[in-house]
Formats: sequence, structure tokens, C-alpha cells
Amino acid sequence: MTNSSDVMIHIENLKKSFGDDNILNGITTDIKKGEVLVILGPSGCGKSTFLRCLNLLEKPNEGHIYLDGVDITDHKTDINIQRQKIMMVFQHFNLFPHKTILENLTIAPIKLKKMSPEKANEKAMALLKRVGLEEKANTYPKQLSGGQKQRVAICRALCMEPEVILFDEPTSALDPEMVGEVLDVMKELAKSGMTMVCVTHEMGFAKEVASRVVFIDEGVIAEDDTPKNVFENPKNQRLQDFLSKIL
Amino acid sequence: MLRKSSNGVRIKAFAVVLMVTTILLTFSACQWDSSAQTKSDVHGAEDLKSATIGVQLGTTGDIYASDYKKDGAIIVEYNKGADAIQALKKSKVDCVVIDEQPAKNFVKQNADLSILDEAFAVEEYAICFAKSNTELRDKVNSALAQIKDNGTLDSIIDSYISGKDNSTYQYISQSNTVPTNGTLTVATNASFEPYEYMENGKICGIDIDVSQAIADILGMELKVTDMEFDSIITAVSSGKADMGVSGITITDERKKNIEFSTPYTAAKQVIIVRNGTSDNNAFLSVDKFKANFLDEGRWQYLAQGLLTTLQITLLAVIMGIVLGFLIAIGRVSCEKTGKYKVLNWILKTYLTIIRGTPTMIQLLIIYYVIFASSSIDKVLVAVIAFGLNSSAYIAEIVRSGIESISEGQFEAGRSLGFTYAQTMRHFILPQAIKNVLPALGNELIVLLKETSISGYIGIMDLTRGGDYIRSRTYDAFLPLIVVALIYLAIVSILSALLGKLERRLKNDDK
Repeated sequence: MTNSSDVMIHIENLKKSFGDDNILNGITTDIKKGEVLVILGPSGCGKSTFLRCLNLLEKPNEGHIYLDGVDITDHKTDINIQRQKIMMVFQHFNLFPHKTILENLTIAPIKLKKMSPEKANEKAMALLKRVGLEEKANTYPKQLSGGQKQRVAICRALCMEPEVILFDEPTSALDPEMVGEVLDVMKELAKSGMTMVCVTHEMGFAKEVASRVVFIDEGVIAEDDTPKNVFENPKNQRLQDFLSKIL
Repeated sequence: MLRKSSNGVRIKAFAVVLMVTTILLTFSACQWDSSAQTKSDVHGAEDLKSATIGVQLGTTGDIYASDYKKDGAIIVEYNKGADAIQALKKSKVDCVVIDEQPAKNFVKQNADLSILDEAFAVEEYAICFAKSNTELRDKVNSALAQIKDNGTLDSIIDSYISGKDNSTYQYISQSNTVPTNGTLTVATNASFEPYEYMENGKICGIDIDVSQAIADILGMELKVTDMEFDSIITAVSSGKADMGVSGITITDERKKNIEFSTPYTAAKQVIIVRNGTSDNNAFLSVDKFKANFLDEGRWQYLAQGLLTTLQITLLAVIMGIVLGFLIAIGRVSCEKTGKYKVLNWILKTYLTIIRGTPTMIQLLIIYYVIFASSSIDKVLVAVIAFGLNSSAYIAEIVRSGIESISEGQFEAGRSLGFTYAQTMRHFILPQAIKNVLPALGNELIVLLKETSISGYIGIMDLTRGGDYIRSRTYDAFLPLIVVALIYLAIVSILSALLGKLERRLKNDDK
């Protein structure tokens, strides 16, 4: 169907359990370059676990994840190098409170990519300007609102020039009036061609921006289609129930 | 501006608290003193049966007095003769059983005390050695015989005792004898005038001169180390000292553990009582201050002691922090990954042992057991002991600090591509340290005060410095209060500095 060189992440029969609790029961899918994949699913279905497996914050019990053809689940792979290509944006932002906004953005490129501080600062300032927060560069995270923090967190991820960004419910911890400003940044990012995998409850975002929607139920992919088909013509019974509850 | 004035208020409040404390202590001390003038009810050995008897721990006086326990006597054991005397003056005991010569000195300096005419027991002093060290014992015996024959021994004893107060004899080490046979380490307890005591910052007395005379004959260099009396036998049998010379009486019990030389002098055990007169002791007078701190430059004991205390504390806290952080990081990593179960078990056991045993026991074990046969510097022993002790507490403080940082911080660091160690260093530890700084400061303060037990292995720390003064001036009040105030001042300075550091760190992320 598509040229295999377009595939950025190839996921094969991914399984994860916590003790006796099976969360993921064999997930296989491809994430292509430039794709905006939205993952939906009822609470506890394993969608966050799936996302966290992609950068190995959770270690899968079985299966393989290939990033640009490199199996990152292989013990011999240096995961710290691979992780530099997959950034993550967290529900609770997880900015470093003891560092300024600018330092939050520049520490990883300076320490890990050996970027010069001048260049890192320049890059960080450009990113902050893009999200309208350049005047906050020298303040600390606690002086920012939730929406501002999440915009900074996205900039922190971008500063590493990743190939893909994982969003783990990026707007769930925000006051409603701040959701828009974060979604705007994500939309702009999608338009710029960034590969994104988003776990979110923002159906508007999914409809408008996603190139593909995956519905996970009981640890497996229950439906995998375009947003138009998923929202207007859902085939899976559980997906129909799910959509009827939230829409 | 606001900050400055609030600081000023704090300093004033502190000064007021300090003054009130001092005044209260003075008053309560005077209370005790006013009750000290009653005459003892002990008139002879017969009366000991119903008396409260003060003795020096581990001395023959202690052993003899303990015989009266079955008759209802209460024995109170003190680390130093001088402490027993102070207890007697303050009516905490009815009498003190102690060796005659120190007793004479005590009575000479305290008009309210008298020695009962009836001698309690006669005994002989000898030098003690480790059981295995009969070779040295034989050498010392022949040296003793030599100085007995040539009159040196009598001259030394006469120069300190037997009424020849203005005797000008002084044993002088022959300058032509170059010590070629190594060092002779002598353990003693320098609060037993005239046998051994501190004067002008040096240990002197009959036993020291006798030891010097023996060392000269043996061609060895004399090295005197001071310690608690009840530690001397341990020190000798563990090899910390070659011999113990401290007015030690030969008893059957002691013979089981150590070898004795032939006796070098005889002495009597006597009973000291309060005679009912007042020794006219004002609590705080210029004279008292002068006697305690200015005469013979006694303040130097405190100054030197303070330096030693600070030295031990500083080095121990550095060692404690380094070790503590390593242990904490080790523990957290083990728990987090579930790997290295053996390492985790070792660390946990270490913490349990260190936190589950008293610091003093650890200090003694490290000195007498672990470093038994090496001639390691005592201050270094104390640094190791307190450093190890502190490391266990710091480890748990730091671990709680690390665990107080949310898992999200860790995930953020790792997701950016930082390794476990980098994440710890750049993100977790800086935040953890800030959180635990007050607890770490508290540990430093506890450690500073804890070092006051260093005297148990014979280190001249601040507390011990005060003890020396007490053993010479027989005044409990001033030396103890001044030592307490010095500790208080150091702790206050440390607290102020730590408070400043904390505020500075807090302002950082505002």
C-alpha cells in the first residue's frame, strides 16, 4: 500500500502486563512519517501504556518496536540515543522546577547533542517566540499558568529536533479556557509536518487534525481508520458505545 | 529593608533567650549549692554500710566499696575522681572512697572536705601489660629494680608526696640517652593527682616520671596517651598501648586479663567526707573565673578542644555526606529497578546496624576492635566513626528527599534522552537536596554535639577540655556552663548560616 521507507515506527505484536494484569494484548501497527495518529479508547484500555511503550518508559513484555528500522526493544540498542528522536509531552507537563524556562529548553540539546549554549539559546528563544512566550524565558515554571507550561513543554520537546512527538493527554490537566492555546500549538505543529502520536479526549482535534485514528479496547486495536470513517461510520460496537458517550 | 529589621529582631530575641537561660541556670545552680553544707553521717568504715558511696569507676575503691552493697550501701560510680568529689560537695553522695594521694589534693583544695583518719585499705600500684607481652614486663621489672636500687624512684615520689612540698627534685630525662628502641606508649588517666594530672597543657605526675625513667633505661621514646581510667586495661590488652601506668592496683580480677609488673609503690584507700564547714564558694566570682580559665592558661584546653571538635565534625560530615549520598542513590536505584538485590540487602543491613547501635559503642568498637593493632591517629578514628554513623542518617534523609521528587521528573529526564545517572544529577538530586537541606543541617548540629563523646577514646575535644579544667579546679559550674555556651554558640552560628543558605536556594526558583 505504502512505500516501506515511509514507515517511521513499526510496532509488532506488542504485549505488556503489570503482574497478572494484561494491559496490551498484542498490538501491531505502523506509524508513518508526517502522520498525526490519534489514539482513542475508554479509560484503562491501555492507550497511555501503549504510548509509554513507544519510548520505553514502560518496558514491553513481548513484541518489537522498530524506530527507523532499529529494534529499540533489543537490549543491545542504546535506548538513550534512540529516545532523543522520540520526545514526549506529559499530561502534568513535568517541567524542571529548579530551572528557568530557557534552561528547561536548552539543557538537553547542550548536554546530549553538544550544542553550544549560544546556539541552544537562540533556538530556544525562536521556539518560545513561536508559541508567544519569549518574555517568560528567564522565569521559573511555577510562575506560569498550566497552558503556558504545556506550551513550554512542547517547545522543550521541539528543541531536541525529534522525529516524532508523543502526546500523553496533553490537555487533560488544564483549565478549559487554556485547552485552546495548547491545541493551537499542536495544530500548527501538525501542519508543519511533524509526526505526532496523541492520546487525547479532544474529539475536535482528532476530527480536524488527525490523519488516522486508532481505537484501542482491551489491549488490542479494535478500529483503525481515517477520522471521517471513525466518527461518522464506526464499525466496532465498543467504539460506537464510546463515541455515543462522549460526543 | 524589611528583611534586615526582621533579622535584627531575631538576633535580639536570641540574645534575650540566651540571657534568661544563663540566669536561670545560675539560680538553679545556687539552689543546689545552698544544700551542700550538711556534714556527712559517715565517721568510719562501719558507717559505709548505710551510706551512698561515690567512687571512680573501675578503681579498687570501687571494688572495695561494692562489698558494702549487700549491707545496703549504694555505690555511685564516676568516670573521674574529681567528679566523685564534686558529687560529694553537692551532697549527691555521703562519702567518696579513693586513693590517698589524690584524696589529699582534693581536700587541700576544698576546705569543706576531710579525710577520715581510719585508713580503708592498703594496696600496691603496679604497671600493667597485655597478657602476651611478658617480654616487656620482664624488661620493665628489671628497669624498676634498677631505679629502686639507685634511689630514683624514691626521689620521684618524694618530689610529689610526703610533705616535702618545697622539694626541688625533678626527674629529668638524661639528654644523652638517644631513644633507639622505638616508642613506649603509656596509657594513663590524667585526673589523678599527684600520680598523673594535667599542668600547663602537659600530662605530668609520679607515674609519668617513673615511666620516663623506665623508658630512658630501655632506650625507648615515651609517648603518653590520656583516656578514661576504665579504658586503660582495654587499651593495653588490645595493643593500643604498650603499658598502663595510672595508679593501678593489683587485684586478682585484673590479673585474669593483664600482666602486672612488680609493685612500684604502696598506697592507701581513704574515705573523704563533708566536714560541715562551708568552703565559702560564691558561684560566679572573678577568682573562680580566673582559677578556671586564666590560671595556667587553662582556657587553652577549651580553645584546643574546640578546634578538635570542629575538625572532627567537619571531616566527619564531609565523609557522611559523600557516603550517605552514595548509599541513598544505591538504595533508590536498587528499589526502583528491582535489580542488585544483594547490594540492596547489604546497604539495608548497614543502615540497620549503624542506626540501631549507640554512637559511643560504634566509636569504641572502631577504636578498640577494628583498629586494635594499628597505631592510627585517634582523631582519624573519631572522624571515621562519626562519619560512618552520620552516613547512615544522611543516607535515609537523602533517600526520603529523592523519593519526594515526583516520578514525572524522572520520566521527563529519561524521555529527553538523559541516562539514569544524568537524570539523577541534573534533575533529581538538585531538587532533593533543596528539600532535605533543613534535615541535613539538623544532622550537622546533632553530629557536632555527638562528638562530645570523643573523650572516651582519649581525644582532647571541647567536652574533654572542660573536664580537664574540672579535674584541676574541682568546680563543676563554670567549666560545664562555659562548655555548654560554646556548643550553643557554634550551633547558633551554624543554624544562622544554614537558614541563609535555605532562603537563598528558595529564592532561586521564585
